[in-house]
Amino acid sequence: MMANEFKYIGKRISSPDTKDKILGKTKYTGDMQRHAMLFGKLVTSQKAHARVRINTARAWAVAGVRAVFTYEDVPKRPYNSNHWYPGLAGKEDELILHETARHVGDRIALVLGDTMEAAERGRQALIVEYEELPAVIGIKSAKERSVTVAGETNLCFETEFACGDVQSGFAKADFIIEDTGSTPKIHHAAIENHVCMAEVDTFGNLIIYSPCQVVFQVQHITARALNLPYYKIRVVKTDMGGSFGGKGMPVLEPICGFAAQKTGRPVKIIMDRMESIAATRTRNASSQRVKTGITKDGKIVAREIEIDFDGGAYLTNCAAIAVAAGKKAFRTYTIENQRYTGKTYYTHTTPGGACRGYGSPQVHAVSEININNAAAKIGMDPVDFRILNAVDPKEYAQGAVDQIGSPAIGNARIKDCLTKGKEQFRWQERMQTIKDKNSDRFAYGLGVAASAHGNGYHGAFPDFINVTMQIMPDGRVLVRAALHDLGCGTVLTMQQIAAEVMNIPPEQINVPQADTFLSPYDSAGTQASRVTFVCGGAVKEAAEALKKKMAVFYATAFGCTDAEVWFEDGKIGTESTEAMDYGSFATLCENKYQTTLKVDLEYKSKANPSVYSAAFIEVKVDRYTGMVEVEDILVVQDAGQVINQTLAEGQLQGGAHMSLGMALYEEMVYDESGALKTGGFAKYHIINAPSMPEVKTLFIEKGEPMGPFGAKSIGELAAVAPAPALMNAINHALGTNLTDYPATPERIIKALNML
Amino acid sequence: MNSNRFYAPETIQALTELLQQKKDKSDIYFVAGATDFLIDIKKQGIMDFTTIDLTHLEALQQIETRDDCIEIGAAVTMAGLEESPAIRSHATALAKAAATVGSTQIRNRATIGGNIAGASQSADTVTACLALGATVVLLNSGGELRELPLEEFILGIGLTQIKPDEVLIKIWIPVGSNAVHSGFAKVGSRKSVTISKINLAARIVFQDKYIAEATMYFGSIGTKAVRAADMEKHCIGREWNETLMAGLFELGSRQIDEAIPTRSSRPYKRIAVKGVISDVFDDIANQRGLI
Repeated sequence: MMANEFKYIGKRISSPDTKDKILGKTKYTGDMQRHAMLFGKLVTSQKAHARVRINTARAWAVAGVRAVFTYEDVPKRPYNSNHWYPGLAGKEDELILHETARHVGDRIALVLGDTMEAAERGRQALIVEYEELPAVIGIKSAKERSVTVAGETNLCFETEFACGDVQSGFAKADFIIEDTGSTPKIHHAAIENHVCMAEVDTFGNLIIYSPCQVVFQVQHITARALNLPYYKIRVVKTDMGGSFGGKGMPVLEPICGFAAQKTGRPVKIIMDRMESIAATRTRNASSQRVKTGITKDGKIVAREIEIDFDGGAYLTNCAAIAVAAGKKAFRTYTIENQRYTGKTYYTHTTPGGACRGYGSPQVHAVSEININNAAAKIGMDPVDFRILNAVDPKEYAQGAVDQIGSPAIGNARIKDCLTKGKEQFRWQERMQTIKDKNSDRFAYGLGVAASAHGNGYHGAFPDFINVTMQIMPDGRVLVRAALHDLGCGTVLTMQQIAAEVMNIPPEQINVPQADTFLSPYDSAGTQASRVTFVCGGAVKEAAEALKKKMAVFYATAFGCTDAEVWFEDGKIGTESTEAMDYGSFATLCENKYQTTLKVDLEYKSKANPSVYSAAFIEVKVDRYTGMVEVEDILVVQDAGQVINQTLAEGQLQGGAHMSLGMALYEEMVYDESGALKTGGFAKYHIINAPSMPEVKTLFIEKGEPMGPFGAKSIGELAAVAPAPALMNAINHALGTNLTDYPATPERIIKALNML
Repeated sequence: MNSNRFYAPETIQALTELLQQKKDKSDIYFVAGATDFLIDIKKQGIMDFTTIDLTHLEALQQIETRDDCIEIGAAVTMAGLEESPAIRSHATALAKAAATVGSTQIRNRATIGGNIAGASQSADTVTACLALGATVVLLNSGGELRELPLEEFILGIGLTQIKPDEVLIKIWIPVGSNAVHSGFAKVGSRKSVTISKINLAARIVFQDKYIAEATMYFGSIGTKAVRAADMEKHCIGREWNETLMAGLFELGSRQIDEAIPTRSSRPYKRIAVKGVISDVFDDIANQRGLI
């Protein structure tokens, strides 16, 4: 619709870094080399809860080992790795190295060697003694309180959101449908494991190279941990082999910085997969209860959602996860009376952190199965039931709020997602014939799920970004902002937005990535689905301001009015004057007006609308082996306006990959002692290529008033709806009510046996 | 500081000389693709070792069809087995088993010798070779050969009869008439690149419509692949049809119950066994042109 009017927005433009990545030319942090660089090997706890004694003497004696650090050597300055800016309130309970290990994978020592091999030999030469202590593994054990991880109780955060009168809402219900279920801890499985390089420059600045999501967070945490002035810490975001939230909280940066400072030599620490799984961050596991009251004609009159989260061994995101999940419960359906209770518990397992979707995959996991059960209760089609209860778009009004006082949902197009998806998937037709495919062995089913997510921190935390945009003498445009491309094409997105406004090809726009010494301050980094909506909005506004400034100077220089000035393919001119390229005009301005063609802008996010998606799945389940095959999947997403069609489709496909994996295989399993049974990819299974279906995609593009060119977030939401849609499809195929993720073959056979 | 040694003998004589060295050392390892070895050294933190690469001996890379058997060199890769016309027609179960091991990249490097000598309880080619009645041939440091039925060779998880100065060089699979068929199936955690939770191989000899001989092995339900004696017996004299399959389902589940009575995986495997039986059934029925 609108896309046709655009020159670059919505187009299929390939990302400039793609070719290098495919050819193996991209230089990642792991490829970085420095003269006299030391290689660091982290030593992590093998026990879930233990006082650790480390005899380092033998390690020091290993040839090539240059240093061994334990808790005795590091500053006792606690930090909270979740704090992305100094204004956050949560307790600081983490140290660079710990004397008492709180989870398998907790950092207990660091060995530095001239080579990787020397460091590894040093690690093997350490004598680590564990004085084991009782461990709290899993939410159930945390609630029993027989042992506490920290403080008096394992409950480390509690929140409630509510609207209407839940009790009287349920009183009006003809039917009440209740479900309990759970979601596991999940590893992000970025192809690049965690890695960091640090060195001290000639001015005594500590430089940290990290494939991170928030440079200013790394700076803040490192300043806290090492007691350094912020301005002495330079954090450079490096090219990244995937994050998905996993590299959001600094894990290696403080210790790598410490080691570089202490030794005076560059230090690089690379984790292996086992460490990335056990010693970084995970999606928070959850245990849930969902209760929905409906009338006999299908209207939801009340709902109650209670979720307990496994926060892991340190405080990290215990508050954020419970809050983020809860808010999403109030955005998809119009439910007048609803209450959400979120509680987070400490456990002796890997700490929780951001993971694509941040709470949305959890809050939709069981509630979307429960919605299906509610529809089934009155014999209503699950898509129609959702359409009947789904929210309508709201006109944008400054300061408008949703049911619980969060920013308004905006141009919410969930109904379009469901209606268009139903049509394109031929849902009704398939529903009538799907069971004809069944055999003794194979059962077929259809599933649908809806989901919602946000656009940044507006309404909750500071959400602003500074942008400097400048015309260079060669006519190219430099955009300085603390942006972090996590691999999803952030840089290209910004190039396209700037290119559209500036009327210049995207490759002429240079968007260097975040560097605390070079990028102007940004309040929140590349997280919370804020980048396209907030940072993209900032780039658009900066470009518009720059254009305006150029028009004014041009009008002055050539004696015309601003309104006469046009911009076309990197040239500025008017009907009656000679056109010149942007670079020459910048030089003209420098000569004539002693000025830089540049704009500095602090952009504050104005809104935080919802984004929506619906997933439709056909599944084939083997009743003998419990194996599941996704026969067909369509994801429909309310994107406002797609900036790059190829990148957007890629997000939906990749998101589906993670979400389907959550429904089928992905699960970090701890035994009773807290040992991680799924420590590597031999046991921790993600969906591989032969099992991955082709994901069909469809975008609803009806524009979001406050987003750049109408755009809103895509990538995180993409990892939400496919999982419950797949669970619903499996349950439809088998007549089961599976609500515990993942639906492993064992769980499927067990559920069949119980029918 | 790195003290690793790597040998790649090209002749049997060179190999026997290395076997003499290996005799009383514990840090010398055979590799024939190294797909297990790389994982093992990382897991166990082994940094100082010597490897003898078996993939440069031409004699170990051949598949030869003899009058009464197929002789498979220990360094034949999974991909080589999967693609060999001789294996596909005379040892179908083995071709199928090889085709389901790991990923394409793994199958291009992993070898039958490594899979057998590694003696994992889940090794797919072991189950197939057992059903096919394979014999292994070992070479010692004196240049002598020792033949041993595979059933005797494998003792348990990672345990075999191999002596410190011996190396597995060949596998013999007996060849029968056109009436001999074999099949293989497995169930893992996912469709491919997966370790068997249970696998099944069967060798069936038909006389007209009826089953004259049956050999069946289950892998991954004990410390080594085990014979499905009751299922074998049940087949004799019967036709290869749905009724037979239903009977095998019941016997298969019963065997799982008896094999792993206390394991938490029992409730799953006693049902999943129907999946592998059904797949092997279809496989052989297809070969017979029955479906």
